[in-house]
Amino acid sequence: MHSITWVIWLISILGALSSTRNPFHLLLILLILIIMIKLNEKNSAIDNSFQVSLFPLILILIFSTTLFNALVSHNGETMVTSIPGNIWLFSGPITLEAILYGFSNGVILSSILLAFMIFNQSLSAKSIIRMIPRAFFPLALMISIAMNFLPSIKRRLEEIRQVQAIRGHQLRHLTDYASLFLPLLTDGLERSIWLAEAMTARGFVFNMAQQQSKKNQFVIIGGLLVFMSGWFLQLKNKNGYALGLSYAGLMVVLFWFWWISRKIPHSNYKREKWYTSDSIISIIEILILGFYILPISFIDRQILLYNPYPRVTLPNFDMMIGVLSLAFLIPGFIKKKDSI
Amino acid sequence: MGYANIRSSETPWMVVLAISLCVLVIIYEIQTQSVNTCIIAFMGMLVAINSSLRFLETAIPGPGGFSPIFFLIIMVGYVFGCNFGFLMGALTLIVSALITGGVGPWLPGQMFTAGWVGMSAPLIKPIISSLKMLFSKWNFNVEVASLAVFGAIWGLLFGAIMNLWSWPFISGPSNLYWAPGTGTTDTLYRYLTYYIMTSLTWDFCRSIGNILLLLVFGAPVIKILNRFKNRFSFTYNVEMTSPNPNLIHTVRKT
Repeated sequence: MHSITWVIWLISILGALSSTRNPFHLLLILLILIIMIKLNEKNSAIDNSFQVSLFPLILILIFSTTLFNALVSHNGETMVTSIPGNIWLFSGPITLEAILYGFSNGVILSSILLAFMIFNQSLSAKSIIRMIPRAFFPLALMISIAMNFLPSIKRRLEEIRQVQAIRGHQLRHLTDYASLFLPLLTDGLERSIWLAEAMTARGFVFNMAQQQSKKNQFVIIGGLLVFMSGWFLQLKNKNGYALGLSYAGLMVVLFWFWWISRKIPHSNYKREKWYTSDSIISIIEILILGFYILPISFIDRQILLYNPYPRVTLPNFDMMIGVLSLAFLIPGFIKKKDSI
Repeated sequence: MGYANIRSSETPWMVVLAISLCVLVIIYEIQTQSVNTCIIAFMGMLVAINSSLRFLETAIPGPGGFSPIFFLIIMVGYVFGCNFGFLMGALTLIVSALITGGVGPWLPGQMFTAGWVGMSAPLIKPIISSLKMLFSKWNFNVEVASLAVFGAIWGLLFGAIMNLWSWPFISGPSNLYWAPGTGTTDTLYRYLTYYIMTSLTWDFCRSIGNILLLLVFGAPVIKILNRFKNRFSFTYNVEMTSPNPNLIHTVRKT
């Protein structure tokens, strides 16, 4: 699947998560993400040694947020028990509403974590670097150098450790690690000088001064200020126009970066392929996101915007949105093709 | 209630978006001002070294929030200046996130805050100069001691700033959480309480770790970085002249 399709999938999941607090719908999304993780495990693009155990992580996260909210939030009318005395923050009633709200918080946080875990599993570091806009090519180059030299730095560290061990050096205290770290740093910096010389010798000379124009600075910083002002105004006045101002600022900044990027010459050594399946999946994901966030007549928004406060009621489940949400699973069933 | 719900669910993503934009704008400004081939190679290598420390941290987790990466970010910022410091912080976090699969909504915040750590390091130079004069007769390294205090402060501050990305996510009716319409003083009080409750102990370990690393490795690393700073302070001036026909002839003959 194309990197952009994964980005659209991720945005749809995050949009769905931020548009509901209904525990049933949140649990459904969490379940979908767990299935996705399992389906995706074989295609993982990152080293599995970094993967944290999934289920304990989710359980700890949900349990800790539920407990935390139950202990510190004393709002709600259905009292389960109470903490006596005058303990700062903790003393007071423990309510069912606070427990349910904390549980929803935990499910949302776990789902966000899982969605990004799937994103990281599915895309290689190179694919993510390739998505960096051309306006930031020096940044992409620095990241690329760091990524490519990392294995050799790890090997060098091991070599230094072995040499020091042969010399009888033992790592007992923190100060002993200086004999590993300082040669590693010196060696790395020496290699950076060779690399700079090699890059220049091969004709890599670039000048960013042409991009450093007053007009660029004015538009980018101006756009950012409009975005921030609109957002603060919207927070203060809850005004739709302020939100529009904020989005206008965002569009200006993004458009300007895109415009600057267009002017930077580049070559595509290997272009990522866009398949028909990418178009279909992208359209489906955008449609589902639309069902979650847009005011559509046959979807009851009140079910999605469920709130346990002030008195808890049994949340309803919208079957239509539930069935549609299953489409989040589609990328998991797409057979991995060589997209590069 | 519905409106408040929509607004409060939108806020965390707006925070992520705002921070991402700020990071992009700052990086763009820095790269147009002070980046050249030497710096690309130099930063790439330094970031690789620092990310390998993050790799060690993931493999052998230290106590609490202890992380060895801040040491080199502070050192680079202190020796090479604000722009380098910011790039070092931001790039270390993005590279280590790419290696460890840690890309997420927290990443822009981490990049921004780690960038600040490096960016603010040169600001203590005037303080160090004053302290050096004050403690000139004392037999201890004022520079390293000051950097250790700086590292300790950032150990706590990094956690306090980073909590802001997750704080709005767990909004709810409590006197610990943020809610739309809360006043500035009340918001600060709520956040301080939340921070003490959830993160202080964790961040304290990071603070202690920074102090130890800066005290033990600070002096030799400053020497090494200063030496390379001098070696890097030259520029290539490529003179574009018409090729010498005799030279081309000679090469062809060879």
